[in-house]
Amino acid sequence: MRRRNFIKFITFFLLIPKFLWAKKIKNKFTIKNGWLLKNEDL
Amino acid sequence: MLTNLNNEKVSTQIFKNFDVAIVGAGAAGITLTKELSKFGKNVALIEAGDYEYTDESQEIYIAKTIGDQYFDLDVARLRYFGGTTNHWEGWCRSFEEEDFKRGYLGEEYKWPITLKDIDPFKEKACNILEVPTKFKDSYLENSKIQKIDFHFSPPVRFRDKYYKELINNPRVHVFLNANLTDVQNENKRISGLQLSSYNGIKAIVKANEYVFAMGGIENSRYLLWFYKKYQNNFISNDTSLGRYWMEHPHFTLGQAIIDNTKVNEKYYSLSAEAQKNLGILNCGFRVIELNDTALKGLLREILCVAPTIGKSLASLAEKNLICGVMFRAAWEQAPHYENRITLDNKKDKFGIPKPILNWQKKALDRKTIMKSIEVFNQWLLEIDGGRIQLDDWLIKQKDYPTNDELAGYHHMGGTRMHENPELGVVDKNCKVYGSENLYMAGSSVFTTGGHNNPTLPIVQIALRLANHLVNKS
Repeated sequence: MRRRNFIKFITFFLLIPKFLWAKKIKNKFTIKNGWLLKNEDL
Repeated sequence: MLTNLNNEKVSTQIFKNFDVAIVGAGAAGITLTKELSKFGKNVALIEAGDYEYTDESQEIYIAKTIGDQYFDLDVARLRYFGGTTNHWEGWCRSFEEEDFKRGYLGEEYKWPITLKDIDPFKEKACNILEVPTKFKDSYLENSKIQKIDFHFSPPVRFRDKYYKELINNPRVHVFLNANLTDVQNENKRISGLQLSSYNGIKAIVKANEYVFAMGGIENSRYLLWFYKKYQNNFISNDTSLGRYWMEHPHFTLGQAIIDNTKVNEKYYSLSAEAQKNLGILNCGFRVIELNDTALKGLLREILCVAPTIGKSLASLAEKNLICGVMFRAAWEQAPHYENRITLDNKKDKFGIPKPILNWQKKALDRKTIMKSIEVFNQWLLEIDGGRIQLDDWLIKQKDYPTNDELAGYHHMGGTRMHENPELGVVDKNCKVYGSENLYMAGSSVFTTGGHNNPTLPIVQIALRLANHLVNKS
């Protein structure tokens, strides 16, 4: 039971938010001197 | 047969027994004339200008514009036989299916017809404009972007191509220098057109049906004038008359460095689904290749601001795998009630009020371009197809530049088609609400404008109107 709760904790509070965060960042781009760039371009 | 009213000696002749009288010898008027005569109709084709350009005719087009910066109206169109086809550039592409499915944006966006209603006339229209009939569009998999295809007419000058054929056609009577000055009307029907030459010779033309094909400003101007004069004798109301006027905003958005193995077409737009999901209109992107010097300049700039991608692009440049491009767009403008033609207090030399054009780009027009750029850029980054550098006015949300293309010289709406007479001026067959025998032709009947150049659909809709007039009798 303890283990199951631990997995739930990891999933909901760590993995899923991280996935959503990553997805959000992926959709974003950086603007510098008018250039629309990926974060890793810099 | 030809009558040049300027050369006539006798005034107030009556020319009668025509099946159809068409006012305006541009793309729509000439297409209609050719098609109707082919089906045995006797047609009067009435042109206000001469065979050649003349100042006295063109001056009639001088008129005021208010709102956003726009072209001088006597520059944006031509007033002699062949009309604006005498200087058009030849861009051809028709409406798209989604252009007729904008009802989700509001009642005023609803066409009373669909693409299926004009599609049967596409092949013939393409033949008239001398362009291929197939357009090779391709949807990019898992993307909101599609590659689109334009064709380029030579461009066909309707005067050069059809004038001799028309004046030698026994079923056609061409009138030159014949300015429409008034209409005779009774019981919701036009019974005659009063015409005048520049030197004061008058004539009357009588027909069973009448078509105004005078262009995207003049069609509104004349109907507004006749409504003011005759109220609802043959125009049911003026609620939408002259309104919902549209253009295609044309602006340079910036420059880009693109991988030409991945971005290998010149024209792109958003998929119909993406437009609908974002609540925006149609937008066409144009990718125009720049020279090597410009590419070097762009590479220098991107190396300064983003060294990692800069170095990668510079190495691709050495292998000729990238190029610099100008990034432009021409997009669909929302049909807005306040964008309209009204009548000025000033009158032309025939005593008819001049038009005033009030044209403004609205919030949805801005949203369309901003969202479209966002989606296009997202696609470009996903495929690693290049990087865009946007101009300052877009980045900083400033006003539209005034030293750019501005628009496409495309005058649409004003006598628009709608199933509700309060939201339109003509019905699905281009017949004026309130009239039994007056029709409108040309881009003034467009309910919405799409993002493509209007000549091909103008010709398609003119062919459809000809078909209607032939079949109704």
